[in-house]
Amino acid sequence: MKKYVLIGGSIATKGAIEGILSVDKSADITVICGEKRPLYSRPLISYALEKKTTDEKMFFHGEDYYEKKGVKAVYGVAEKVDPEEKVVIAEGKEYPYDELLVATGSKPFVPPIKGLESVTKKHTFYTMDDMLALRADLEKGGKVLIVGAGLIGMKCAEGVKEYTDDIVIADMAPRPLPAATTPEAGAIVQERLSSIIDFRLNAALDHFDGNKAVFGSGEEIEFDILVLALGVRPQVGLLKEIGAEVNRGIIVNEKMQTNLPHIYAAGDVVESYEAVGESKRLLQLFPSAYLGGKTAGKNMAGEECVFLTDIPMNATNLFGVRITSAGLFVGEKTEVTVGEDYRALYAEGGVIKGFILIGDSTRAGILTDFIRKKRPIGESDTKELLAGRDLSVYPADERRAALGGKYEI
Amino acid sequence: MIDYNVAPFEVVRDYDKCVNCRVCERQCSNEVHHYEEGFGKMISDSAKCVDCQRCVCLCPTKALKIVPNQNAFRPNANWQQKYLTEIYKQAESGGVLLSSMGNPEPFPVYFDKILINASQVTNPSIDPLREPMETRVFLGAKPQTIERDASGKIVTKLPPRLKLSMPVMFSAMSYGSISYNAHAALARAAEKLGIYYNTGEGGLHKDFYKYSANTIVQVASGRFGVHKDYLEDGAAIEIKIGQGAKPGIGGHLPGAKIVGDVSKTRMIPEGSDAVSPAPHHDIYSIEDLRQLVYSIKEATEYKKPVIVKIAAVHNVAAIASGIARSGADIIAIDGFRGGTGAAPTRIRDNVGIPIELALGSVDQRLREENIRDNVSLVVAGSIRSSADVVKAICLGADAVYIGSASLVAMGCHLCRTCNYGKCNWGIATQRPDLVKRLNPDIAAERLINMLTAWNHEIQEMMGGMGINSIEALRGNRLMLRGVGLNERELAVLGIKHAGEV
Amino acid sequence: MKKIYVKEEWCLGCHLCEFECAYANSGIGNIVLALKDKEIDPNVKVLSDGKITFAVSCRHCDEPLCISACISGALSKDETGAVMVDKSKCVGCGSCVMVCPYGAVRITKEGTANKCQLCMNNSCGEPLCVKKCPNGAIVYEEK
Repeated sequence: MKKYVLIGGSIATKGAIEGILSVDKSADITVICGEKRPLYSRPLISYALEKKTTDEKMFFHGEDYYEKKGVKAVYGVAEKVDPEEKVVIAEGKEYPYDELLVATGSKPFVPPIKGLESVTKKHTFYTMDDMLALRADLEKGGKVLIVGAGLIGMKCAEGVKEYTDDIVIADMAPRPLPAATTPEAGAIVQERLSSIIDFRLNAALDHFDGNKAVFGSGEEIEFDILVLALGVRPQVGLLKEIGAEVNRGIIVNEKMQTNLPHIYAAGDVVESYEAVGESKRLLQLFPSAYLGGKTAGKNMAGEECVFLTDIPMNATNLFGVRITSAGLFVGEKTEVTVGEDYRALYAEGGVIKGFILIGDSTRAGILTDFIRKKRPIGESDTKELLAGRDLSVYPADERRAALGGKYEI
Repeated sequence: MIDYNVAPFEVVRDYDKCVNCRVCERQCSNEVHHYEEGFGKMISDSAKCVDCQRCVCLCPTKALKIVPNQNAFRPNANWQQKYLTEIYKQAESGGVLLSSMGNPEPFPVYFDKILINASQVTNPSIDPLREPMETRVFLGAKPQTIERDASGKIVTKLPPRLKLSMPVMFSAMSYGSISYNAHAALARAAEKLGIYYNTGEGGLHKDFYKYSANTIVQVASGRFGVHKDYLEDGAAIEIKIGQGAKPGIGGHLPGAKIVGDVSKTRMIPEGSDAVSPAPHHDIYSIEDLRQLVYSIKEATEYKKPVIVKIAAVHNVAAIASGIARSGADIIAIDGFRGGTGAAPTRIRDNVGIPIELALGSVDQRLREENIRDNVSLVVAGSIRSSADVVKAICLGADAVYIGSASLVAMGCHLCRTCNYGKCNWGIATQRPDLVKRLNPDIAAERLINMLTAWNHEIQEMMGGMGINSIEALRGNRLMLRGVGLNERELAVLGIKHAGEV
Repeated sequence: MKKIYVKEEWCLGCHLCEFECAYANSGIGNIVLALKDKEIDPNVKVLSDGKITFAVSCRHCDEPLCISACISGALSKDETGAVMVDKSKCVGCGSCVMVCPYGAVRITKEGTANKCQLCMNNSCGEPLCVKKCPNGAIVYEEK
């Protein structure tokens, strides 16, 4: 019986478990979970804060997921990997492995800001614990300052709104969602949300003075609760110290293998192949983690498979404004406006490189498929693809085969 | 100009039930229904309705019905409304009136005046579920004498025959008059059932050569689609002299229907009218017919039975007698109620005689002349049920042809507008969007189901009569009695009146 | 597993499947009451490429991207392999819509994901679109 050890207890691990079990039914799998919780869905923390879901439902495949899959769960922090002996040491105990997956994820980035230690109620917003702590403070009331208008900060704001209207979001960038959207789309989001959210943009934080943030411009904002949402950093330490190839994340090949034998990595911690830019990069996305984990799992169990269709993508709904994007915003831009909706598509060399849709996202997956498969746009008009699209844009033979059950797109 | 036409039907929509799904609109090739945006409701133009019932069948909420138009001309037993409207049409167009499918006029239906016998006490009936029951028939000439070879052994070499699992075949309907999918369904069903379908005068599409063992190929006066491979492919070859729906005249498939594969299969240019002459111009006597029969036999090495199909007309018995002497193996007789893709209305409704009477007289005549075994008799012209089949067999038929019944099984509602080429059921049309409405997988299954049911019913009726072989039923007029028939009718049919022993 | 397959050569574009689907999933026992004066949002959609029409519903993929992307666990495979939706778990993020290459998942007016569940979640027990297709253009079979 092959022994598999998976470090980390989130989506990549779930993917790996399902990948391993699809190949090796008798697998002996141990999950070492530093977060000390059964498998749950991290992106749900804002929805739980917002009360759109419950704490219970955050364990999105049941609190007994590991038991159901026949996986041993060790709730503790992995301290060391010994690639010679093929063991992982966690909480002082040794866990031998034949194949190892490192899915240690990332950690909120907290820069050394002067005076931060003087803030009484400060939070990050990344784990379930973070959410529970923030909620406990929110329930007591008070004014909230969120630093960082990226996806985490914005989703956090949506949750916080459930408790107080007194929120300020500050970011150095000139618009919200600077990384996830284009300038045009970001501006639209900002405009739509400006009546709901008090933005402080182009606002470089200088220092804190107790419960007061002081910005470079001199503006001062008082708050009761601070949330720092300034991005996350991969937790690469465990493998870096034993000689794994590491850039910002752990470098893996298309099978999700690290340069160390029998050691795989997946999820937020890796830099892996990205199909649009055709290079390795940090993706840190839910589907990437799951599918990367699954690829790793299959390979660990002996079934060769590669993951070459990973691309950046994101779907979210912020205060009723739906934002859906995929790929990279490079190449020639086509924009259309349909009613209140803004849609942009980026193409280069006859293939779609990326898109962003504000509003209706009906059948967006077809555009995503164009990007993932590098489908030639051919005769299709990019404006029409943006205005609306359906299965008829694929080649007729492929569509017929897919609908007839001979093929899966 | 005054529009004299009165819509024969009225579309009645129950607006409480209509959910504006617009299925009726999409399914009506006559463009009767449409959604009126401003009104927010479906609207129907009854004048265009042919009462094919397609919309009624497909309406998910059963919100539609088609009823006769109650609008009435002043009643007149002689000048019925029908005659007036036909005159209005002709006064407008100057043309010959065209109609489709069989004669709808209220002539007597003799099958409906004939009843079948059953055993009681003596000669007990047979339970077909428990005992063997033979409905298989062979069509072709029967040997007249027993021949022995030099060593005294019986010579078993028989003339070419057709073997049918039950005494029913699909009658001639050309590819052109009906659609590719309708032909595909008939061919598949014939193969599955162990019977035959008939190409009609339209040639045989290359896709259907694989059903050759169950195909009867027709040679008619236009000789459309006839070539060596065609003749060699058929299990039997039918020389069509006449058709029950239009005795004495030829066929006419308008150029609009001669498109694509229809044109290729008929071997005539696209868009040209396919006009079959009224007579075969090489046949003016039984002797001429004999020449054609033997030319065909010669061409096919005497391996295939030859059928001669005629319409039931006044001197049908004498003609059949001649055919039985011409070398033909099978005579097919088509009664005046036989269907058609298009025929002049006056011919369809006024020419020919009922198949029951034709069959009665032909069978009796051939027996009298002692040539009944020269040929098998196949009758057509509105066989509507298994009871009609049994009655026909008792009157002397070896088997029947069904045309209309097979179309009905595939969905036809006898709206009798085949000649418009816009058949909503995908049968009598060549319009690709309409042809695809007939999925041959479904249609073939329905044909098979219908005939499987008929065969069960035939066996039940045979069993009731204490007869376990269809051969023993053939010409068994004692099993029939007439009701409400006069002596002349009974004499022609060769049956007694009900109550007579 | 038994899945819905489309034989587009037989699709008539009549759109009956859409209405029957809406009825099947309405929870109302009478088709008139279920559809009368209502805008339908069926799980099957009849599409056209200008030449031919075809009915598209969830393909119940062997490796469904929608499940891979679902952050809430609302989408999952049942024991037969059918992809099912648990509306009570869905947070309406739209990740499934973003990845489904068939365009067969959507976010409804209620704000949650919905798609064909083979009529396993309603009282029909078998896909009504298949049963009611007049021309055998949608079939439900094991392949």
